[in-house]
Amino acid sequence: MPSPPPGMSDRNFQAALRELEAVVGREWLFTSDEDVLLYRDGYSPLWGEPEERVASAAVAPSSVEQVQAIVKVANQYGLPLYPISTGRNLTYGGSAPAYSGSVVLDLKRMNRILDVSERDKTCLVEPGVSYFDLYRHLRTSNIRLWIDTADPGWGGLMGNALDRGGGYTDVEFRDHFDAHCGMEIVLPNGELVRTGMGASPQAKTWQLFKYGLGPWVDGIFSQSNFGIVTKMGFWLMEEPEAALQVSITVPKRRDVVPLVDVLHSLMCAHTIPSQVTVASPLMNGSGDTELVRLRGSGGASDDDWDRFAAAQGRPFWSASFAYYGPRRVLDAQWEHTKDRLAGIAGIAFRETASYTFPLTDVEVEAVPDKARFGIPSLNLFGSRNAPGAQPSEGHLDFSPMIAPHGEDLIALSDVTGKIYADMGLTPPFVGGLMFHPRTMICFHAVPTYRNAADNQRTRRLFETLVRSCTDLGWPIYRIHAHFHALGMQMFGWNGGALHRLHETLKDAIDPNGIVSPGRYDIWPRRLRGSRA
Amino acid sequence: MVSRRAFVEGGLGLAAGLAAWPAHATRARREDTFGSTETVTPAPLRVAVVDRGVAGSAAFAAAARARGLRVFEFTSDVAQVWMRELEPRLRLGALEILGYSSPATSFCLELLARDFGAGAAQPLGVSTWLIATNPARRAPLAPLSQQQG
Repeated sequence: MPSPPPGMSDRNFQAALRELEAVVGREWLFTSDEDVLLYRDGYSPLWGEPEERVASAAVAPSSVEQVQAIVKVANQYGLPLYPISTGRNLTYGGSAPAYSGSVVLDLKRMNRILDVSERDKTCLVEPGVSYFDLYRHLRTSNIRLWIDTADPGWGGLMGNALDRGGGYTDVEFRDHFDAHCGMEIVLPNGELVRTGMGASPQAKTWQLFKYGLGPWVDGIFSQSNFGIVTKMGFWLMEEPEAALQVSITVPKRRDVVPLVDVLHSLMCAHTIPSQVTVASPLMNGSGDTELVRLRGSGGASDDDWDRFAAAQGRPFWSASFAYYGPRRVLDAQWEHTKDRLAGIAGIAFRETASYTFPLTDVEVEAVPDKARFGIPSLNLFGSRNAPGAQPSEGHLDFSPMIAPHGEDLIALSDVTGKIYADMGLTPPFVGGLMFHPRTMICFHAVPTYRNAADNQRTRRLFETLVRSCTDLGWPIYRIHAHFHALGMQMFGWNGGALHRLHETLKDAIDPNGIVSPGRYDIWPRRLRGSRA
Repeated sequence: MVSRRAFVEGGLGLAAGLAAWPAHATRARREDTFGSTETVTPAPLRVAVVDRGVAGSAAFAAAARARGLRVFEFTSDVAQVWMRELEPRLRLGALEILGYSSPATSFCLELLARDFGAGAAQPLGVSTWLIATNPARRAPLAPLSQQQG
């Protein structure tokens, strides 16, 4: 028997569940422990502790009308709902609610691909459409459009876009929220709203022009709790004639400064279209004791590092990216890139893969870096292959955002390395991924466990990383649900004015506080005492 | 060429896996709106997924085929097999997936198959595991034929 949300009587909770059952049918209301535990965050940093966020039940509607009816029930009883699309947002909270006791509103059954226009290169989808679904649809329908997939690619377009995830192809598509065009939203009062051109009933441009007329409100439905998005349009990439994937390496630590400057310049000039990953073959190495010492020192000199790199015989930095287009064009782009970077002593250029599209199924299978070519993949989980790795244990993504400056990447690497070393931990390497055209996100995985002692240390470490990096000008762009309050504290300019604006909007749009209370630390008035 | 050692490992893996594979549950007790009833359900489809990168995989795949199982092979990344072969079958009805792979693959498939009523991946031996949907189980994407009593 599920427990009611805090402050709600069991009698009212049971009555609300009966009404939800009447809306969706008995088959689609989940109340047994066995079912509800499936919505647990498998990567929770609070696994098994009293504060772990867990759902009280789950309900899976199949239509917008059912979502509206569920919202009506929730308003009547003050029942908190936690909408999820495909619920794969692992490392940022998974499908577990931000507020314990919420009923998960599982939108997976709403999984229709409503429209794909090959001519306009757009699609319109429901929340449950996964990257797998849309990719398969495009392949089997012989539609020569690409999706831009998150990596791993098992999530859904809408959920990832609404949490502002990123991908790997052309700049127009890989900022997933920016690539959307038009939404339909069930507001907390049950009213249905379409944004952009969708508000004009006869418009033929809902998926073509974002703004419509008047204020553009789409942004308030991302990383928020102001409504339940039931449809979203996206722009899709036309399959190019060809693609060239390349890798560049440079030998010395400070070489990353001109390397990133030039790559950023070429991205802004649209010479390099794809996401650029800056990594370090040297620092990604094994647990070499000298490497661990240098990483943990928090300020080893460039000479120390360069001597170590020379002794190891490995380049310090690498950058990998891809060009898309007619073969003659991408060959010229690659030549121009090499010309611009030729001044770095010891630089090496390598073509790692070359494709002509469309690919056969066999060729698709053989692509090692699938996400760069719009192919959803699960290869990222290869790290779980390590001997002794426990598949049930996960991690948090720590994802500070920096300017695309090599000096900042070095400084961030020093700072995080020292934080780990001071806690007696082996520092991981911090790389930089240029999802967005003018910033770099420096992800690294902070492991979570199935025991409280290790997780307490993880939480201390994570909070230290967030605070220290924010102090140095590198706040996070996205954060696990347990740390939403911490994250918003890092955006506290002018006494938290932005957060007050969020909650002012919440009070106006969701006065009963039924949609995702606490998500991104936005609490309804009645629950503000619950703030962590 | 499959080495003798790999062949033995793969064959042993399959033998262990098949030995531990539970018998088909052809009857599933479930309740419907009108009270308890016992419903005969069709035997689930059985398939095998094999990671070519795991030692002994060729022998495992060969032994599975010899036992009449449809075998889907992949190298490290099971996503294409999921999209093309496993998910479409799960949408049609009950499925039992015998796997020979790294823990990464069983982790991914376990989470993906949950939406179709599968439980946790059951380890059957070194590199061998089983994921099975339960016809009596409710799940967001489980086929309607399983859901309606």
